[in-house]
Amino acid sequence: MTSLLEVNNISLAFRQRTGFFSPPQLIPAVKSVSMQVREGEVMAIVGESGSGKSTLAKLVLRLLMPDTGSITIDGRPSSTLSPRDFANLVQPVFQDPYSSLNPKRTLADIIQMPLIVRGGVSAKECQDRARELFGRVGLPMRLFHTYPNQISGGQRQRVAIARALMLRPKLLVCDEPTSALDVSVQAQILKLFEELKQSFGLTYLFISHNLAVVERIADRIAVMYRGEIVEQGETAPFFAAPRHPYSRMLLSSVLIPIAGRPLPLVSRDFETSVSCESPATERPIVATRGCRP
Amino acid sequence: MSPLLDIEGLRIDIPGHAGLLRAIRGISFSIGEGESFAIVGESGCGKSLTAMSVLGLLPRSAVLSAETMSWKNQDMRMFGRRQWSHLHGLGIAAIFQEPMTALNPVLPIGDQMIESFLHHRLGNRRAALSRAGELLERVGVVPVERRLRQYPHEMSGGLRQRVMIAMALMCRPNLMIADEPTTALDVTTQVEILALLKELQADTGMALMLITHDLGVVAHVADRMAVMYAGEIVETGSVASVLTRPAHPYTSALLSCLPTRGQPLIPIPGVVPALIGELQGCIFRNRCGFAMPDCASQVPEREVAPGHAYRCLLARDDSGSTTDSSAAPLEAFQ
Repeated sequence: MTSLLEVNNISLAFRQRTGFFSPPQLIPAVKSVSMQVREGEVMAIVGESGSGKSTLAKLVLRLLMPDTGSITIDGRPSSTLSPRDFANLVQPVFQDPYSSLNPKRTLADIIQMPLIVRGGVSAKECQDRARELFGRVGLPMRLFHTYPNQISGGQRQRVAIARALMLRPKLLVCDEPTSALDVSVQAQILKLFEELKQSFGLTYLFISHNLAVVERIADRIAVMYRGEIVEQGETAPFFAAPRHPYSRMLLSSVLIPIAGRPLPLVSRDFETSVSCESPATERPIVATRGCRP
Repeated sequence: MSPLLDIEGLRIDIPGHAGLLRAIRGISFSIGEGESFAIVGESGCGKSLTAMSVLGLLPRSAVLSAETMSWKNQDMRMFGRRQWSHLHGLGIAAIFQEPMTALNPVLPIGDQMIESFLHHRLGNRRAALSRAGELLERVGVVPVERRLRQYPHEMSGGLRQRVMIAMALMCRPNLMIADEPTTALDVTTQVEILALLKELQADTGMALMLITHDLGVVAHVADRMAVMYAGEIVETGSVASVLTRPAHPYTSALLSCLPTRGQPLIPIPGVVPALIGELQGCIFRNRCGFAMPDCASQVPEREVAPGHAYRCLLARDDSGSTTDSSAAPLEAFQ
């Protein structure tokens, strides 16, 4: 089977100036990450804040450029694609639907924008496609000409999804698409992702901190910890027996609605090398190495 | 023993352009000393408004009425400015969902923490700072000396929430209101913060009013709970009883839309309706899988067990149940 997305050994470090005269400090965010996402598959990236998963998403979206390594999309090096070709292949859905939609434009404008920018279709066609997608993501047509502030968070996320689908991309990069939503709305949006995957033949790179959410939707899972992928595998075997202690910790942190159980112990024993004063409350800035079981 | 907080028949109406918004429509609950009480429901069900009414922080236009609304047997509706001010911090403290907006970005956290302590004249600046230091240490925000001088933007979300908790504890409140305290946090940080809240509760004996949409959180933290829908309490009881034998279809629906291993994910169709105009019967009926014509007119209150009540036409028999296809044991998880 062919890989739609191939990430080969990419690394990125941010430069942070600590003082005016001191040399910048290198903070590695993504360290030698490699993975393949096959066509039609849902690949989930899981990890806490600061584990580098959103940085990885931005690298795939070309919002950041890697220091080393390469990304191949649909058989072509991502860096050589023109912005237009790239947009035809990859589209994002972000976490916060309150900041990802322009408050001064109507939903109709927001959804049509990618196609207007790309060009090549008549205004009529563009609007027809927007209307069709509007219905497909489960929004009532009467909202078509309203503004983002007139609709709820779940509806905003539906608009963001419709916009991402306007160019009929192959890959959707979803960065925590449900974590800003209520559980009931989250369930609706997850269901929508599943339906759209079927009907549009989409591939997802799905980023989340909640393993219970990705189990629902992912075919494969990669767990990121401090910039590295510490475990990667098919969903079912992964959930049956997660290997890395960090994966186990993530899995045990999912709270299930059964009364009378104690809170899970979040033990960070596996954090062997520690670079700050309090490992339990502050994520270390200086990365460690060799955290492998 | 009389409860710490006793609310009966609370109603809140908010006049608006489209008409009178009946945001809270006759809810009753009480919280005893040291008890953990959770209010659960979707956005727009009136959970936060209920918390705000207990804090006396309703919008100016809101019209509140209640049969009883008492704090330690004093009528809260009679409270003047001074009594509210006395209650805030000393009696009731609150932490909110978004720790970034709740903290002042231009003040070091030390200065923010001691504010209420000094306001209530519990001691001088030195005493206040030492108490702040103690609490920061307790909630795991160390090293204390450096942290007290830091600004909120220098900390992660989890740390800020810990600071909020420490700040709320400054004046040893009897009740802490936690409005979605972990919704903005990672699952791992969420567990740490909830564990901290429970420990602190055991240490200080304060009561906790937890507001959340996540039944997983409720199960691990609260003793009793109320499920709110569209400004009403539709089911209330002990957490153990409500979660094992959910009687109201809305409670079951909330349970089944939580992603859980080995369970189908069943979203609740639609959204919470706007509560404007005449409201009759069960408001959940247009999203409910068990709705029948009579739902539009009458909603009796039934009891599953002593203390576990719900509002629904559907009788819930204990042998085989009508509503709990989704409430099957979730033991497969761990």
